[in-house]
Amino acid sequence: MSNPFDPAGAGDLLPGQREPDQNDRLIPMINIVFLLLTFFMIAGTFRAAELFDVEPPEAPAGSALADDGPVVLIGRDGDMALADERLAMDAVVTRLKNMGAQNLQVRLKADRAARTGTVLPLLKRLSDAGITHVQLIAVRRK
Amino acid sequence: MAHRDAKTMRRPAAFALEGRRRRSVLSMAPLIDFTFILLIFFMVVTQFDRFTPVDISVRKTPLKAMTPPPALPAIARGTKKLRLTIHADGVILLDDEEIGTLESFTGVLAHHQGHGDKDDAPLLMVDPDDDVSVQLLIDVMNALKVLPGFRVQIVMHETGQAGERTQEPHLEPPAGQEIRQ
Repeated sequence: MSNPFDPAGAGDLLPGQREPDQNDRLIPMINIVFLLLTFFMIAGTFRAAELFDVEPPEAPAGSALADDGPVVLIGRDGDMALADERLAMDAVVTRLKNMGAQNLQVRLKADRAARTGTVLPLLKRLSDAGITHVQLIAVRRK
Repeated sequence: MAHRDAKTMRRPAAFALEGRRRRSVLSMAPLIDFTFILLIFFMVVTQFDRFTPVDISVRKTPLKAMTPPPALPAIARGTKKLRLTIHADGVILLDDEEIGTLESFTGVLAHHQGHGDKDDAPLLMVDPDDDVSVQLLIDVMNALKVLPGFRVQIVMHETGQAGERTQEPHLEPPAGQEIRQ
């Protein structure tokens, strides 16, 4: 229904204002997409792909995870890997020992379904090698 | 009159400039396409850090002490020892007597809690079967944390020597320090 006082519709626009086009209607969406993009870029972290899939066990939130130190992967079938190389337990312990056992912080990323028959002997071997600071990586329980 | 004519002459040029300005609008479609591709890329590859450590001290010291560890007090000769066996199917035994599963075993265990000095607390030796999963062991250790009147140790099975077990546990900090979260 047209305005009887302004049949041409010219009064809807301010001086210097143009008719909204298709692009103008997309601006709110672009804003939101940019906000999402910025969020994912800032809040997310990138990790190098691991040699095999490891799903860590769940545990209540604890202290901070160590930032550095070697990560030993233990798969659900007992496979072990260190620094992107699949190794036997003896080789893992030897390499870690060569890195300097004193004050070495080892992070153990074991699958939640891995057998304790695999993990505990490794801990014992590490202890025998003088490596006493070990963190088992877990996922925060919700 | 001449002045009025000059004014009228200038008008068409001004309108032409305004018309040119109005047409110079960039298309947003490529920008949106590119932004969506970036967004999808980051949504797919981004991981949110949900990891938490389970600190393990494989010697007689808490993890935070990075200096040579002082030994914990030796277990007194008369200390009461209890063996908590975990089977892979979740059944838990106390001194070879079934006391329940993960959800229920702490109730029975509470009757054996020590109430006095920490050094005199009963020694609880957790002995998981080889086939027990890491998750189950962590859950049991977590459940034991609510029972402060014990010293907890994990019994290790020697590699490659099935059935043969060490007599002394190799992980032996006091309860709550061995596996801390």
